[in-house]
Amino acid sequence: MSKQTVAPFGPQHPVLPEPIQLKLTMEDEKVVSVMPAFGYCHRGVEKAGELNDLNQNVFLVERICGICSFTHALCYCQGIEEMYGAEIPVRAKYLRTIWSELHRMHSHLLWLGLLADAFGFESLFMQIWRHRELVMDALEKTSGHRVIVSTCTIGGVRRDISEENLQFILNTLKEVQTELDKVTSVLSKDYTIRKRCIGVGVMSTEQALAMGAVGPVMRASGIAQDARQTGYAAYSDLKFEPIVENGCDSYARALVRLRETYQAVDLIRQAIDKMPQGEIATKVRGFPTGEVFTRVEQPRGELVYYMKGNGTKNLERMRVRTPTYSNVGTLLVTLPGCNLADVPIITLAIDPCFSCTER
Amino acid sequence: MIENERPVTPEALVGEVKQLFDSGHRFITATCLDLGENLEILYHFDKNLELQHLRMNFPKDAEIPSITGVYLAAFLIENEMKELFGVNLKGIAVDYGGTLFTPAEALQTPMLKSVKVTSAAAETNGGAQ
Repeated sequence: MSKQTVAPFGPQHPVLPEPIQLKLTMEDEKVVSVMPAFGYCHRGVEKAGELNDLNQNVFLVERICGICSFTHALCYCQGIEEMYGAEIPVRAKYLRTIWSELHRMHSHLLWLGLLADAFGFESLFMQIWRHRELVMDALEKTSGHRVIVSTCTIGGVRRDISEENLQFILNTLKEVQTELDKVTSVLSKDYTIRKRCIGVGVMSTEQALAMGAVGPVMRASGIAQDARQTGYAAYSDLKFEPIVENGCDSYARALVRLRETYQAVDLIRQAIDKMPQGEIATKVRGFPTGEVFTRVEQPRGELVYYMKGNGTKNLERMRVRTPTYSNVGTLLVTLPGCNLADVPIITLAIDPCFSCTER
Repeated sequence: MIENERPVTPEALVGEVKQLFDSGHRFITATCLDLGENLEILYHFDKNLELQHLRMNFPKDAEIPSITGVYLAAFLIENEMKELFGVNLKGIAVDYGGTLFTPAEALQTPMLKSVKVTSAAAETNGGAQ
């Protein structure tokens, strides 16, 4: 047996958008085991959620993660609305769906670009991020902001999308889809991409279930589950089936995200087509009591909020379980046995977000 | 009270969790609550989008068994509850010794209600402490 050494991967590494350290126990070039080390961006958000009032928390949770800011606010607001027993206007549900899917598109395009960057395919990286800018423009046009759109509020949404801006979104989707077709061709045929991703970071269906994987990581291991199937926001009115791949490897995770980007285009078109006119928010009064457990599908996977109201303006408890919190554990299964050179790809394949994880 | 929840004792916890594992449930997460004298942990599970919750109430100094022998996925949340709430969890498969998110010299068990911290927003707007 070769001598074992421990190699630190991170907390600063080109494939890590946020800091984590993976302590890799190595035998020559092979990873034997891994120990993730956290604590670089813990901010005490759950405690802050007990100190702020119900409305201030909307702005707090939007800042747990930049990429998923809207879906955090959506999950929080729908939980509080459930506690109030409030029914929000139908148009607000559709608007929430549109912004959610725009976020999914820009998140997945960001990740696909980072994947290309991870193995040095710089032209593909820049091309994908250029397409992502089109989605960011649509977010800015409809909300005034590129990243933290801050359109969700307890009882509905803060602003409507005009007919002119809906048309702008439709034009953007057409352009993104055309450009995405070119990217798809490269992602599915390029030798380097296939060589670096196929058979790398394999996690079986059974392992995915046991390790609590969620989102594209779970669906790339053949499990057809997506929180959008629960029908929150306007998803119950839209034609939707989870995207599933059976490759169980890093390539399958990339394909799920690529196909979900196309699916987001379709869902936004459906939502715009079916969205009725009407109010965009309803007033809620008083302070709620009771407990709720609510979830939505972030780009990275299932996002869960547990909240307990005590009849005051503050929550008794706010618990946030983000997708990476579940997916980071899968590295204990996917990294052992791989080569050191594959660690960046396998780590990136879970689409890690550690500001989410540590909160 | 949330839908599909049932109480469980610390003694019966691992057995109940094993039954859920054997029936194909996915471990979602756990939630710890400070109830004053006691702590409470809610364990959340899912199978085909159907939720199941186990609610366990226990004194703050009680010894609680880890479920990582059944669901290794629980190692993060168990370490978090041990560190931030001071839950006396025994047998966590990957034990960070109370330094998962915060260093040893940081404020201990900050999520307990008895530990008072203030937020800038609370100070500005007269919110609770």
